[in-house]
Amino acid sequence: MTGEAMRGERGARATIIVGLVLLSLPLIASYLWLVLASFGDGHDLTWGIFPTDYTVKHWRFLWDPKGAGGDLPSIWRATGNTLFVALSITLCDVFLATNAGYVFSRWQFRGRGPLLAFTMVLHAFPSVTLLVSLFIVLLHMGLLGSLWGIVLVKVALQLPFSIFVMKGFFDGVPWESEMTALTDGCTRLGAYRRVILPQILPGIAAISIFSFLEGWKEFLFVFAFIFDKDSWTLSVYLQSILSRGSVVDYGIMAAVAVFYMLPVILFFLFTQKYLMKVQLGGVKG
Amino acid sequence: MRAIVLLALAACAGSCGTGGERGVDEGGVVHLVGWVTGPEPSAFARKTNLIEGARRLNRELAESGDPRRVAIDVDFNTTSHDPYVKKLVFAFASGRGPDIACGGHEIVGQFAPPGYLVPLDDYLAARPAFKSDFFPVLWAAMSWRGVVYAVPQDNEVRLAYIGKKPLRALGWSDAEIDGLSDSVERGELSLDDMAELVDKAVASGAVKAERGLYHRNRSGFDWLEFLLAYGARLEDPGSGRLVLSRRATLATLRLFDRLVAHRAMPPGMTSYTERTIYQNFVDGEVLIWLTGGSWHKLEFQGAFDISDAEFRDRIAYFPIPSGRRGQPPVSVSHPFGCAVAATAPDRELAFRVIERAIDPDLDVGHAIKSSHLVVRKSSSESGPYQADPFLRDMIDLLRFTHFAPNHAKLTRLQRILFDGIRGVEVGVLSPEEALDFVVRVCQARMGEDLVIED
Amino acid sequence: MAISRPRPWMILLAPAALLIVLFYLLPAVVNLALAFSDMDYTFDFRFVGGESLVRPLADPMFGRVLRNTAVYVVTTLTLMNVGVGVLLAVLTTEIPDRVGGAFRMLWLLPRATPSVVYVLMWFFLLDPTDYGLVNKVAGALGGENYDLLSQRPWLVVVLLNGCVGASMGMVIFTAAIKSIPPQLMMAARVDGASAWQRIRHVTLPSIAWPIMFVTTYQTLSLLTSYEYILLATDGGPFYQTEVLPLYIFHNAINDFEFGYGAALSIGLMAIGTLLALIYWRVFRFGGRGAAAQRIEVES
Repeated sequence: MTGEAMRGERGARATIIVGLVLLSLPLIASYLWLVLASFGDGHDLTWGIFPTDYTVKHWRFLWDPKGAGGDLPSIWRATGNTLFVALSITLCDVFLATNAGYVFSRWQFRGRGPLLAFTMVLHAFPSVTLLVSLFIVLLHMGLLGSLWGIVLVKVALQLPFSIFVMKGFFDGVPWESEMTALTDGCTRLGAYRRVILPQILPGIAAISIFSFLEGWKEFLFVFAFIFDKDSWTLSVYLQSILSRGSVVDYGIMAAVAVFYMLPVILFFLFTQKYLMKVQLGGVKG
Repeated sequence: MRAIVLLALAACAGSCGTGGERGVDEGGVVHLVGWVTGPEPSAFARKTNLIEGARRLNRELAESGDPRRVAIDVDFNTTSHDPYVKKLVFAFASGRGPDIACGGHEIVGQFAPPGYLVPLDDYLAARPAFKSDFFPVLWAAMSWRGVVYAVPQDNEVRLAYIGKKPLRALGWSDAEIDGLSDSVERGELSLDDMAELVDKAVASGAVKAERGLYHRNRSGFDWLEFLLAYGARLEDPGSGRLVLSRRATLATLRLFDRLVAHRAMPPGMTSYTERTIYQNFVDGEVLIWLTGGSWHKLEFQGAFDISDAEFRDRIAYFPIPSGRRGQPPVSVSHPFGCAVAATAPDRELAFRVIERAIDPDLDVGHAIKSSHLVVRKSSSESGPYQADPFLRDMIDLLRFTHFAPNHAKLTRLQRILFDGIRGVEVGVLSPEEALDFVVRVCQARMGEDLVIED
Repeated sequence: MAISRPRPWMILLAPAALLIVLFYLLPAVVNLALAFSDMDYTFDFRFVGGESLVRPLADPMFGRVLRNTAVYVVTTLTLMNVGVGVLLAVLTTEIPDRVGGAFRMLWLLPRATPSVVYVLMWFFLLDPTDYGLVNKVAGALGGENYDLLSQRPWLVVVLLNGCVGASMGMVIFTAAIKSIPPQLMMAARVDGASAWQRIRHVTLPSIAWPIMFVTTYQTLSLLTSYEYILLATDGGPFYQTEVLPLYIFHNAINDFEFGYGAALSIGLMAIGTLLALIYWRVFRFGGRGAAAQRIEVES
């Protein structure tokens, strides 16, 4: 490439970056404010974002259970609960969706088409109304008040999406590779593990991110189905700080919110390598 | 990664439990679960009083040779009242409701009809001195269909706050400012007069445009104050149905329409956050904070770090003026009470915990700490309580107070009314159109539970 | 055809199927039953026939709610979820990966932020008094205070939801772009194609399919989402942003009319199902020919 072309390309890149910054301005400003607010003291803000004084007192809840005010449980307890919910959902979802995706991709059975269509249509059911019906169902199953009930419900709600994604990935693995492994003497399961699995790992990473997020964020079900503060997740914990209908202490809110987002960010970074290769070309039948 | 998984599993082990014990254990100890709500931390005594009440009851039982004991677990809710009621709905429906449920008196109207609560008349009949020590109107607030279901816990008064800085900028003397509340109480200031005062403040520059008056951003009891101020009644005592008065509703809608039209109030008032509203008012940028309550003093002080002296220097208050001159002002109270659930393992003991929890000294202690009003006559005569000038003023305003009727669909009516007000404020509806909207939606959604009269 | 012993595919599908049936289908059926009742917060089931189903027609605000829902879904979907999603994916892959990745991380944050906090962040931006950032900027430029939340509630709602929704499209489209064979890209460059031509002829076609999937899936997501609107405007200021799922929430959860809410949701589900089936047909998800690798044909 000529030097001129390269400069042209660099110029184009710079323009794009500037464009992206402009597009993302609201987000940049908001998150900057959030992080700074968690360390900010007092109400004065220069330029509307930067606090004039700094303090760590908003982060007191990390070592002092009464730190967030009121009668709240320890935040570590809530974090543990949230991790339990999110990870359980992720593990169950990945396991079940991978199996189901494999079946939909590799087997032709009667009712396959309609069943596939049905999984997509499931997403049309609004969770808001399911709330009451689920309450009734969980009540009769004895799962109210238990985080396991939440996990099972969330897995069920997440499966349609995950199955579709995984099926797409399986569709992207040519039959020849599997066949080769089988003729080489592998069992079905061996072929699965050795040939197919590595190629669908990106898909697994993809659905695990969304499942983890769904579990981490879940609020409505925990709010309605959990009656004991010790089983609270971070989302309910946060809401109880924020919904007092009175002046919100932005400092504590920001600190808890940043704390809340950290594990998710870590999870992102961890799976980012695989995440950016989600393949959905395979939605073709 | 492994550490995370282990941590999660450990959390699981802990979190799969179902919470506090219930019922009677082998030792004859009755385990009770109580739910109270703040939501503000200053109201924490609602929880500690119950715990102390249980302790005092145990002492009493021991002294009288009664082998029973109580152990109580109290949950202090920190969300606003609406989510709290929702939680109670789901809890009661699943059989995991508390044994003692405390909250705003509307929980009686909500949870007594389906039989979730225990009528307390018999217990009260056996304790005439206890019963008569409470301000009589409070028992009415705790009743449904004439039967008492809850013991009053604390009370409050709703009123308007006014900033002294803009008043002084208008040229008012301190004496005039101090006499404002008395003036309203004598009926010398009507709602229209108040609106004109706001207009003057904006016109003279004492406050900027659209900063004359702020009100709350959500539905609630406060809006009923205006219906009452314009002479409406809220309940039909014979049938127990709610009542909507066309005349009073239209007058209310016209009031807020006028305020926005005169640029005294921002049209987007209902989209403002609490922080914005309070901060601007406390900073002296706004003349009147209309839909306030006796608890706001503490809230302002806590959120913005203001001492009692500073508060007195910056802010005055008055009850909601009547719609007509010469008529007394109005206020709505939202007392809190404690009820006994039908599923409680020992109803009588649960009641007695509540009884002890409202001993005069506990009543006063909670009231002072949280800037609420006491519920017992003997408490109101206590020294520390009388010594607080603000609380004294609040008690004084009690003579103008009304209670919202106990009806399961009251919140729905409040919301429809609030929607109408919002529609007028943002300019989508004229007051007449808004009245039409309110009436039609009420007819569609309230059905038989509402009487619409002129 | 009797199934004498469980086939492998049934075993693999069974657990997923069981969960979906128990915790998705069963509640949906219960919901259907509730629609024929007037159940309220007492959870007493009283059969009232089609009364609850007909009530929406008598509600004066129902028509507006439906119109709002249509506008909301179409606008947010095309502008933000797909539009910005595509934009982000294409742009962030044109620049060095470190920088691109950083932007993608930024746009994923809204999804990771608890909704109450996220909405409060927007409130900070949009505060109608002097404290809001937008107003501070406007003030610095010599303008007046804006109250976007109540004057332009639609704009706020679409932006707010869109910033969350765009990230799903962004993630999926980016992955598709990244899996374009590098030889194709190199060939296009060597041939002297300009960046714009490259994008038009190589990049965009590679995400044609993902766009269709995201459109379908997110149509349904938007049709049933209400949480952010609830927190930001609560359908207001006066029913301008009241969409059907929020309307259901207000009636079912706030007013404790579960039977009525269930009836309304049947309508919502019907619309969603209809749309899903239309997409299915139009995008031909189901009939792109059986892939050669299908191995077992059960008769």
